[in-house]
Amino acid sequence: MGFGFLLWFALLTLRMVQLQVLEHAAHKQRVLQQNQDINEIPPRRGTIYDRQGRILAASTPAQDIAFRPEKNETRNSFRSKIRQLHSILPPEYRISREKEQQIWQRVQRGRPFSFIQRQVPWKWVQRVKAADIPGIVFEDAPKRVYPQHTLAGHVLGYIQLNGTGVAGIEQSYNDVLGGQAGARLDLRDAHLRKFQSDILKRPVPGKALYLTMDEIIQYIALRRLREAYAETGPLWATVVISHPPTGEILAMVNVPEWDPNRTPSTKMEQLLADWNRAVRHTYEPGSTIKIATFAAALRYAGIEMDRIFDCSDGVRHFGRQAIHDHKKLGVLSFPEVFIHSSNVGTTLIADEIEAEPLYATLRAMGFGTKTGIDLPAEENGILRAPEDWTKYSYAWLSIGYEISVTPLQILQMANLVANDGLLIPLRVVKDIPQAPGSLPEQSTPYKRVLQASTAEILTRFMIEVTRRGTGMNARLDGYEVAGKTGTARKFIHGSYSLNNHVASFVGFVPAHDPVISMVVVVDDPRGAFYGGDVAAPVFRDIAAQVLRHLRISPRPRPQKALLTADSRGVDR
Amino acid sequence: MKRKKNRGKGLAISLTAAVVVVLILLFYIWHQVESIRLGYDVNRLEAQLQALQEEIAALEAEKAELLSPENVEMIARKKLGFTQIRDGQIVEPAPQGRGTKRP
Repeated sequence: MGFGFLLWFALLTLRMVQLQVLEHAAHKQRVLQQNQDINEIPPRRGTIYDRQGRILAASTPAQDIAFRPEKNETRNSFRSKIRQLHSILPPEYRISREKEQQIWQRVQRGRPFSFIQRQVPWKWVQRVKAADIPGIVFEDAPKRVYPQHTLAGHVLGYIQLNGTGVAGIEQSYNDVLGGQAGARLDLRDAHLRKFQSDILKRPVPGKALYLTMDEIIQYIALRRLREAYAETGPLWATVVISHPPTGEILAMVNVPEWDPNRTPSTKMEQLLADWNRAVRHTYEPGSTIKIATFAAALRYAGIEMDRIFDCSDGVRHFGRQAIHDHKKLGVLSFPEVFIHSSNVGTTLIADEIEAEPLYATLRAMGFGTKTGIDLPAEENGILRAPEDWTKYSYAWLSIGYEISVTPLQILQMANLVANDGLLIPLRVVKDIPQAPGSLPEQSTPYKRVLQASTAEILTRFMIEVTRRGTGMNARLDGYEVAGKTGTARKFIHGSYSLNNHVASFVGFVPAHDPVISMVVVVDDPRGAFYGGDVAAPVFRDIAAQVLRHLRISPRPRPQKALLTADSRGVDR
Repeated sequence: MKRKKNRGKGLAISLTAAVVVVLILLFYIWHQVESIRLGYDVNRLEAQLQALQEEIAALEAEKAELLSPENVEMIARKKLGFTQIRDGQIVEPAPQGRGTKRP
């Protein structure tokens, strides 16, 4: 018996020596591999708010659900676990048979980890965790949500699965919003249950952004634009509203709309998601460009207010091409050419402006170059230098052809007039509270592009446009509206179409001491196509509601122009 | 007799030492198990805390969606019977003194 005991003890000792000494390294490696995990801690992406602190984009808790096969995992056990998972998750988070097969194939190839479903919302993850299904593991994967859906889709952009911003604010401020990932050491037991976590590196959360946009104004604009889209059936339409004294964009909407909660699944959807027409789409603006033409005329041609221009024929020929008025307007004074938007009259005025000054005025007013707004993929537009002009280019340019602009550039031009000739940069981000001073300084002196007297004259002209000219549909009782209509034929298949137009209106209100400026562009409306008939009513209806929202009361026209250092803001 | 006594004493000391060693080992094992058990508890409580914080974040986003202008208008129109205001329904107070007072 003693010998038996000694033999047993000796065998036990030999076995312990084999495990603890000879095979120590191998077993230690296996234990560490099984028990230790270094995992990335994704940073919480910064929230995007409107100017009043309402959430436009936020990261919400979600986790990836993954499969870590146990030892001797079988097809049946795997299937059983997936079935158990499906009994808990709603249909949109269940996986297909094909996906199930793919995961099983990975398991058979010895892969220790396979994603089952990404970014599952927290409430469903909680239920799966409570079920404690062996082999089902979880990883933090915050989900970006846009509670307002299509309200500001093109401005906000969206993010990819890896957390990188694509399009809009998500892209241009990706570094600010993104934060920095951390690292965590997880220790697990033999059943792969985590029993200890040590933070190796704390994640740095992204910073919050406050936009200049007002959620309510954005909605007012979108709702009215949807109506116009339904009424006129255009290819697209856009509205941009700004606060001229600060250059802050209060609203920027496009239809067709885009919901950034959806990840684009086709190339067409990708295009729609990325295409913020307010900054990316270029078009020939037509008569809205006459603001710049008349600015050049006032500066360089020295034309008197009572000078008259014979527009009786309603047409003027330039080589084999002709420029028409929308109707025969007779003999017009210099202001009346603008008020009634006579193309013939404008070209007669353009005859008296040299090519270089006209070009210089257009460049100075921002055409052919980006506005510099803090949104990605902004287009320059096209403005050719005089050396590339034909003999009659000056005439076409003066009425808004042979030039390609974005809606934002047209708004910037109107803001120049509204701001007494000062160029105040446009922007969509108001503040980054956790990084004070990181935004470009918004300070005077701003660049002077027009003389104040020129801006005042143009303002008076634009008031008359809405009072008795082509923009009467933009008139607002109790407010002085300054505006300009635009109706441009589209260049299709090598010639200017008689049936396809871009209708637009740009203006600001109240004309003296303006609180809002707005551009409305409608591409290829069906039925009515003049800017005064299609775009001006949209301007009027939106402006009426926005002014009411901002509590800007209607007031009588001041008896004399007053200069004041105080400019009314848009925050209450 | 004396040899028997000495052998007994030696055995007692050995047994005592063995018991002490076993007790120490048992304490060590208990300590390890207890650490792991507490680790589970800490992990569970941290998970609860994280869950609550994340529930707050999810609820804030849900609140933002419920308070979106589109949703509020839909409720106002369909459930409360509100309609768009018409011209003349809003009366501005008459200006007092110079200029127009704004709220």
